[in-house]
Amino acid sequence: MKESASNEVLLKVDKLSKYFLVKRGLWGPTFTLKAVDKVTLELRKRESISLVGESGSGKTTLGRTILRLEEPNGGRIIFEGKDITHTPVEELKWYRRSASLVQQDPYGAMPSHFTIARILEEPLMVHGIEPREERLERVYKALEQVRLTPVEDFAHKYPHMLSGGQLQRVAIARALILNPKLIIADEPVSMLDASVRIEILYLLQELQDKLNLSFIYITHDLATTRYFSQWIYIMYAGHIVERGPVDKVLRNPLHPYTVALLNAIPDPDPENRKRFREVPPGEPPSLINPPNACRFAPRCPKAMERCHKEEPVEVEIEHNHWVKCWLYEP
Amino acid sequence: MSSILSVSNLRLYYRTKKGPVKAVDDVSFELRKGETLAIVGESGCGKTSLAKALLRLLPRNVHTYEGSIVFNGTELMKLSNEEFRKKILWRKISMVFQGAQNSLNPVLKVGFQVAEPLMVHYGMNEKNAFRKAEEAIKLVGIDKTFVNRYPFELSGGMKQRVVIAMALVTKPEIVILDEPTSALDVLTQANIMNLLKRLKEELKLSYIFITHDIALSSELADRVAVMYAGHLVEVAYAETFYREPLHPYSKKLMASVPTLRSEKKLEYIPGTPPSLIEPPHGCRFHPRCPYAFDKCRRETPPMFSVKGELVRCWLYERERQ
Repeated sequence: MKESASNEVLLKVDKLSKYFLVKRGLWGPTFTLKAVDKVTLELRKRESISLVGESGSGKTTLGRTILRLEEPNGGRIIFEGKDITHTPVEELKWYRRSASLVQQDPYGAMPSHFTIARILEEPLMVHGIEPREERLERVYKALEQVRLTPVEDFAHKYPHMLSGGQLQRVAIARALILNPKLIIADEPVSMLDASVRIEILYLLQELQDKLNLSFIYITHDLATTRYFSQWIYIMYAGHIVERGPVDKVLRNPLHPYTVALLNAIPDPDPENRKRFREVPPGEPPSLINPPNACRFAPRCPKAMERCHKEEPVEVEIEHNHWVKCWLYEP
Repeated sequence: MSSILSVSNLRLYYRTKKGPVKAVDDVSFELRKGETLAIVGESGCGKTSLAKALLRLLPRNVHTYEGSIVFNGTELMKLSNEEFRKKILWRKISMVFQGAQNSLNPVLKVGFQVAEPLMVHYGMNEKNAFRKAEEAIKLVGIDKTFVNRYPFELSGGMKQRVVIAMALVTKPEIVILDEPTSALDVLTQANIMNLLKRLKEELKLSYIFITHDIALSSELADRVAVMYAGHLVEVAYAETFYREPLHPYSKKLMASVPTLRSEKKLEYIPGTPPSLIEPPHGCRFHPRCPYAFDKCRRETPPMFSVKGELVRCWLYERERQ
């Protein structure tokens, strides 16, 4: 883990919410699905946040809402001091250049009939970079940055001719091509093999140092977080239940959900097979009309009466280490 | 412990336009009764092909399928397809397929889907088969009323339990688990691993556990077999393997595993796994191996036995016993 690199805040998210309306049946009633509920987040320049949660926890929606790919229903997004929560899409082109996305599935994220060069050229065309020579120069530079060399060879290939790791490098090159300040990487390595995974994560880290990028690294893999980020945010059923410096949270987890996650993840150890793991039973709750209570309470081994009735407030236990749990009420 | 399954020189090549794909090449190992053998390796190394070769679930474009598979003293390769299907498949050796939880038939009740192998393989009537299905479903920790539910009514973890019930309903002795928790959440995965541990004890099962996740493999493995480009390169006891693997590939693979509880620098293996159509001459790992020397480029190493472990690497030629 690297020490915090600066104090300048790049992105501030305050009580951000994203709800979806879902309809049951053709004439049925409409429900509110609270995918992201009052999330607060702060990211400084050249730093990384790991956003950890299980599938359905809302981590992808949070990433997409921050990028304004989803319209927020409440709260604020402040990027470099500018409030962009409700800026009309037509006036957001500068933000599209400043903040980009690397998707989980590189196979699904590339049009199969475009060459790699064409795929990388697309965002430059959209943003009116002329003439073509300049676009191509930037395409080659981006390929070089992600070390797909010799660049001429890769530029003229089609997505199906590349391996998963190579394709993910193309996805990263595409995210870099408009010189962003923030990259949201949504499970960038979850489809890759262990060794390739580490190779890509090192590449991201190197690019971050070289290009002064900030990252939000969305993942379900707790074990990689401490190698590649300074901050960790644990998300459960639309809420951030714990957040803080990655080492503090992993060494001294406070929220029962974080504790459960850490208990559930094995390190390679021959003793593992001899013991059962303590895991809370059940599955995450439905996010449709959730009760105003702790959302982990039904599975929580330490749940008290209050947990089922009232939503916990966030408490700062140590400097920057926050937890949303009634056990820690001051 | 006596051996329940003994595999020697197993080969499975697929025919393609570019030449045969050597997905499983000269693979030998033993599975002991009540033991879990984990087969680990990167995607495309031939793990799933190996499982399919054991169960004779072969595609049409088979080029070569040979070797010996002895189950409880019976040579399975000598059985006709008919005999194999009637005597071995599901009854003795069954399998949990990767991603099977998403292949459940959406229009059939899960009880029927669990009961189906009994009706097909044992000619059981529907009523009896359903009763057995209820038992199997209870065994995997779901309420037996779930037999009347449809897959869309179940969560991912419960669907995976149903798939495990399907593999157990025929009372097999060996269960092949192919990435049984892929696409499941961390907590659900840990719950399924607990279940598999319990079932193994209760039903005295032997497992072949196929996974790309080294850390996860240690949840079940008594021994570990590492596969690279169609070859097994190491077969070792869990105690030695997770602490000090022998083969350079195993060492590198272990170094790429992030850990929560220990400080270590992560490494990756430069280069990519070779083509299985034209694998490199000599040792298949030599182009990526930091210790490779002349002989590695010329000759394919055999499996050397070193302190009770097997390793396919010339570095151990002198140390063998």
